[in-house]
Amino acid sequence: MPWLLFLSTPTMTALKNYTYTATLVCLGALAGCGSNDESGPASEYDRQAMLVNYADNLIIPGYQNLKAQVDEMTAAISAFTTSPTTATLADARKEYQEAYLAWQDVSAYEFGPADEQLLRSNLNIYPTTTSQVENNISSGTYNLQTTANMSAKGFPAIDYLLYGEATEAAVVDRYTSASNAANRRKYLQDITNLIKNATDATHTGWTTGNTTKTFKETGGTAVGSSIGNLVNQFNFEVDLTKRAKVGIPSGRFSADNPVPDRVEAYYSNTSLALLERNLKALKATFMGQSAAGANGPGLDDYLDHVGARYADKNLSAAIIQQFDAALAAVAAVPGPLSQAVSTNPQAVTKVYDELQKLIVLTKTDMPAALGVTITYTDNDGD
Amino acid sequence: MLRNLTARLTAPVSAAPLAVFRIIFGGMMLGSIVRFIAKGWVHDLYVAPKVYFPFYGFEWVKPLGEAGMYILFGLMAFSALGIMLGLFYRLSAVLFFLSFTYVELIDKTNYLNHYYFVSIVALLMILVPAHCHFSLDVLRKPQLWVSQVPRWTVLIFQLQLGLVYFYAGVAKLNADWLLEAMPLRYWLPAHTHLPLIGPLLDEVWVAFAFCWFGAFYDLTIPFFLSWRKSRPLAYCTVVVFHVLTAMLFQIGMFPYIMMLSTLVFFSPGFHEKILYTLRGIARVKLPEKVALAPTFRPAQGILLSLLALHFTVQVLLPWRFLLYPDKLFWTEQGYRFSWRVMLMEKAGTAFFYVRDPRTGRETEIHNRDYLTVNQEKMMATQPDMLLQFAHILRDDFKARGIPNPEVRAEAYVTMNGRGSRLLINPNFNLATATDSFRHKHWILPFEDNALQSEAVGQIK
Repeated sequence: MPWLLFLSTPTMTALKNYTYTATLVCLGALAGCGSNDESGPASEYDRQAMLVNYADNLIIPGYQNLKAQVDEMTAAISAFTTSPTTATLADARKEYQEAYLAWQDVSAYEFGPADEQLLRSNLNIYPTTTSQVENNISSGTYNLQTTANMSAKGFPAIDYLLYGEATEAAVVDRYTSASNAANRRKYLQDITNLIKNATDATHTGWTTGNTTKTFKETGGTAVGSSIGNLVNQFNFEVDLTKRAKVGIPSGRFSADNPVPDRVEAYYSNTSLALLERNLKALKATFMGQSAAGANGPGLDDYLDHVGARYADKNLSAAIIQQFDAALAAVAAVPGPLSQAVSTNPQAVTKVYDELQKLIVLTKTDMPAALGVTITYTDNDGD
Repeated sequence: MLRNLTARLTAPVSAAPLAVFRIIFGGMMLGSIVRFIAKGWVHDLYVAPKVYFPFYGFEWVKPLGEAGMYILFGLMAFSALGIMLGLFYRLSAVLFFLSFTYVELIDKTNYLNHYYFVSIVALLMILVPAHCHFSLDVLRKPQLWVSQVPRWTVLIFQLQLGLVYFYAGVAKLNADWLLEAMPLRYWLPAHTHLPLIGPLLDEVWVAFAFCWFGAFYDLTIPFFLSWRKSRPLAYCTVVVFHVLTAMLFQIGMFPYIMMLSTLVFFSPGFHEKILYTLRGIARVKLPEKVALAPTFRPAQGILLSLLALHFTVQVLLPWRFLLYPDKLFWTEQGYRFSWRVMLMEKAGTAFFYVRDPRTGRETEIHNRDYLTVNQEKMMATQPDMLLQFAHILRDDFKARGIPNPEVRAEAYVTMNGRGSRLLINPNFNLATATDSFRHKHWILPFEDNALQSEAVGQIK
């Protein structure tokens, strides 16, 4: 203990009273806590190994997969815009869905390279503003980085452009015979390229330079630490899943009046699949589990290490249990979500309630136990 | 006896400690203000937020807009400079006290014990002739110069500092701190990456050692600093203690303010040496005479009575929590203004619902539509802020055409490692409740082993 070092400084003999007392109190404290050891942190916990696991087995493979899926989507959409047929459309749709699912795996990692690339803004702001998309197409000139175009790009806009008509033939028509067909082909290609560029840059950010090294080595849990970023963005994502994927469409924020067209992937009716993938990815992130299923050191193990409890069990077990409850509730919703919010509100409410319970545990109990500051500004406390 | 006490309080002592304290305080405040502005906090905390959480009874204190806030902070900085230099001292001290306190009263989100401490010291500074020694005011008006001041003018700062420490120590005498090492047991392992001491911070016994030493330190340090013989070592302990807290916790200027303020406990000789050095640098000479600050007996009598009142309040205020039922850390009724520093880990998530009684339909609120991250975080665990936010929502929905909106909140709070549970009655309509110093009956009782209630989500 550093303060004991001062005992050796030459001081007056009268000081001994104080130093003796201080020493005794320290020793007393040490002696008195022996019996408490078993309830405390379980021996050593290698935090750096946890960060290495997150970087090497979850984050980087996640972006690798997203990049691969986006590449395939870009190629398929290219083929479609070069030669719009129902066959090329079907392929473009398939690749788009796979890429959108791959995005759900990494959407919680919006710090570092993803944050610099504004990955979420470029990939997944929904609902898409169809009027803005159509304006851009008819004018043929647009800057996709303006605020107005925030909701006119990304997967949600592709969703509209590939599924916006009742039949596949009708969609193909808009790229062949309808007015502005050439502009439409170009717009679809442009927003696809933007997804590709932002994804590639994020992947490059993690695989070259010092980002990964810095991530693995920035210890502690303060603002800007790797664990701090991970936990804060994890909770940001859980909140967004609860609110945007489920809450807003189901009418939670609009006096119980459902707003079906605010679901994610409204036109392709794939909201529930995306939601399920997202929750599974969040659960895997919490557990430090790779896509291949290898369960490495994660936040759950860290919580066990500090001895975090919830009611009569470990907090980590409570959180995993709550993830499972939310996933079970999602599985019980008859698709598509845009209809279920009106026809089967109880099932959707169940999903929402389970997510609400989840966020209490992940946003309140978890950061408290880990000493993670839930704030994005570097303010003083006392 | 009272006369005897008055005589002792007014006995002449060297003016050097007071002058040095003035320089330190002014300098620290100037530095703090510059740091605050440089970090962009004037904008983040007093311009950007859409709503604020004023203190009860100070609802009239409002932010002054972007230009206004920067002017106010500029004024604060200049008055701190005035205090440091001893230039237009009384005016500077008054302006500093008013501007600083005004800013602190705008939003209780930003309440910090050390801001409260600064306000009190600033108030006390107004009352003392700290500018009559080693100051620019003396240079302007040499007749102001004194070599001696009444003892009470130094004593009040020692007493105030002593109270801060002592009550911070008293607050640590609770079961969580002493028997569970909470919250340090959660906080320390977050710093295992630090060199040298890092690996130790993962050990439970270290958390216990910190807790017990911290309590012992806070309770005893005022006495060890007051006693001449133990002072040097006590001050070493002050430095080590505050350097450690500065490393481990995000507490900004507080450790440095305490480290430098506690120099006021040192002997006149020590402070005269400091001033001697400063005079050497400034190339000014000390007049070779003795002069006592002029006293106006009736005024001094009134001052001393007011100070007696102030310290009585200071001694009693931290105990006001005894007037409220249930556990203080849970209800936080009587928590602030009591030197409860770094004492508990409390975190919460609050879901607010506004119901239109005409339709019975309920809307959940996205708190961030109204609040900053920090406001949301502070609000979620403090009942009076939950109530204020409910009223903000009520007024907003009224303005949007719902005549009597009902507002309720599900606030889940975890405290010192106990699983999160509801803080307030989730069915209580906060819209019609009024704030007061009375017990808030809608706060749910804290039960040590309570499980999470089943109220999650909307209540139909």
